[in-house]
Amino acid sequence: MEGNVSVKVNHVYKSYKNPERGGINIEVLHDICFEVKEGEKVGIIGRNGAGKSTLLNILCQYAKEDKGSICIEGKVNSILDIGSNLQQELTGKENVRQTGKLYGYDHDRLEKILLEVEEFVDIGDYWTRPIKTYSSGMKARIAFAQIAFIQPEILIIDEVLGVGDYQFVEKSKNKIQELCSKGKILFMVSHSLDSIKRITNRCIWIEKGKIILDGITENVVKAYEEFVNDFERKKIWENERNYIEKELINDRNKMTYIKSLCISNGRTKENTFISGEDLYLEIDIKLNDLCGKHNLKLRIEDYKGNIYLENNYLEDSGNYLEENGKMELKMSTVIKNMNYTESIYTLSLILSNNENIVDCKERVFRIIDYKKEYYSFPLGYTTSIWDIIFKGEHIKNEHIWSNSRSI
Amino acid sequence: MNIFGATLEVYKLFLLNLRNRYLGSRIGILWSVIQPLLMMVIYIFIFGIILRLKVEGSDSSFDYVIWFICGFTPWLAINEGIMATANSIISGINLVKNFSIKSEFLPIASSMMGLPQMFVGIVVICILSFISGRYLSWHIFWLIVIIPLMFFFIMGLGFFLSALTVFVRDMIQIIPTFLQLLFYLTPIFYGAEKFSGNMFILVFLNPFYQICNMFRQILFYQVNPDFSGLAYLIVISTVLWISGLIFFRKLKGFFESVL
Repeated sequence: MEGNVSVKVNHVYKSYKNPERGGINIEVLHDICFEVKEGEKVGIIGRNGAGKSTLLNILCQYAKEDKGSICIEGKVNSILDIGSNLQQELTGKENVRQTGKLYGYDHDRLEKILLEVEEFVDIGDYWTRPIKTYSSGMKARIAFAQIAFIQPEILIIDEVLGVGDYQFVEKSKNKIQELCSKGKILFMVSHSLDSIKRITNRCIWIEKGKIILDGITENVVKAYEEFVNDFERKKIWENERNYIEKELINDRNKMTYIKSLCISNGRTKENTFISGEDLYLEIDIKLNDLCGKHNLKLRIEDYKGNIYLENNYLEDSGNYLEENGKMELKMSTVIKNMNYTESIYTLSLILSNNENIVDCKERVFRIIDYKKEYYSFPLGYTTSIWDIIFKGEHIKNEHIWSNSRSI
Repeated sequence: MNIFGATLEVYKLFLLNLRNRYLGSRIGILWSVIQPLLMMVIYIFIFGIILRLKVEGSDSSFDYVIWFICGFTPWLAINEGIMATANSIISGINLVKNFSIKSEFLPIASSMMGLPQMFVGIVVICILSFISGRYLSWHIFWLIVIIPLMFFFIMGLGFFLSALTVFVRDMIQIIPTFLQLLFYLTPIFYGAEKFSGNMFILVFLNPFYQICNMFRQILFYQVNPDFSGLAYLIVISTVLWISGLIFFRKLKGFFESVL
């Protein structure tokens, strides 16, 4: 079988029983199917618990698949749990030597490689001291140094980088690259997309045990990155939604000046809007015994805290709220053609008295941009954003306040 | 992988295990000499000096000592081997993960961990036999057959125990207790003549007795080993080995889910 190295994975399934949940089967891999030819260096990416490590375990036949088959031509070398074989009582040198012996190196070659490794790990006197005296960084170096012995045909590595100081990580990345160039097939799991990009030429993205994407590393990594960012947003959105619901309950109990702040697109009461829609804001304020000048501020910011809109409504018009008695203020406004980037935003109405916040109400909403055609900048990115959104001609945005006062 | 490659791999593992067995202790591998010697001294003190047990047909305490050590030597190797092999997967799984070593090799290599103890025992027997004037006959060469057969038997048992221990960790606690019990139930410090009829059949079926008995026949009585016993041992070892391997292969795909 000389020179004919290949890996075939046919419809592989794997599930585990979870004893804590009454023995329910949890599917870890679902219908995994791919073929790898000689010369391909495959990165496997996915979030934690996606099934990457299980796939590697199955590839090196450490775990058995439930269904499906795996066909491997060539000698497999795997590093799934780097450093776990280090003996605390032995010195670094002896540990590395022991590894070499396990790989079947004879004495002369072993001594030669030991010198190379000593230089590579660069830990001075500690080289001949027991591992138990090492710092974690030094242990990582010794653990990594063991890969020097591998002469890979099919190499399977799981997260070997990542520990150690920056300088060593760089060094070890080079080493891995050198090693991988010698091998015929590589499988690599790493959370470092940077090293995936550097080392692999093909990439498989797994999510919840299924292959989402399989192709050229660059494309897959890009798609994955987008997904992860998007996912973060969704998670924040979920949190925010819980937060909204909590807020709504609190609203009823609190004695507030701002009675309500509503945002809608005129159709539904959902908090999700489509970019480009008109948004209607309704504000209802009731002031009792307020003294002094009060200001009302309307602000829209995204979940990262970038401010997209800030309207000092009363300050700008020079028309402060200045009442001692009772006052009710009802306002409604339309933000026409709200063309924001897809994200999660917070709309807040802040009633303040000389920069002290008297009352504040927040509403969280989401903008979805199906066509991905809008891109909005937060305030401060360019000074004229304010103008663009409210006064400018570039984007047709009309901002009309209509209010009714009654005392 | 051919037989030669597999043997080499097992040999490497065996050396590694042996090196790491007494890691961290001052005198290291010397323990595998001192430990069996100490055990022998303790048991001889109890059975030979306090209880004054004698070998049938001989009045000499010295004869009893040799007779006892002949049976005790394989027991030392069995004891050590079973303990090591039961633990072998748990302690050696990192080798499987990082060096692509087949997991079957772990119990195989560990089952021979009793080899140094056994070697020490045989040396002691030779010395004592020389002192007592009962020189060993050519029957000692039967060891070439018996010792591999013994390890073959431990391996078969080891396949079951090692795979089971991964999922039932309690085995690590159960096994030493069970071995202790087995030591007293098996005619090792007393003769099998004490049993007759149905009881003797039970003793005969005990493979541990068969191993110890054969060592005695070869080294103490200097006769050929009991062929019915030998045949029985070969059959039971083979059955155990094959069924153990099947059992092991069934379970090994699930090791990863608990380790």
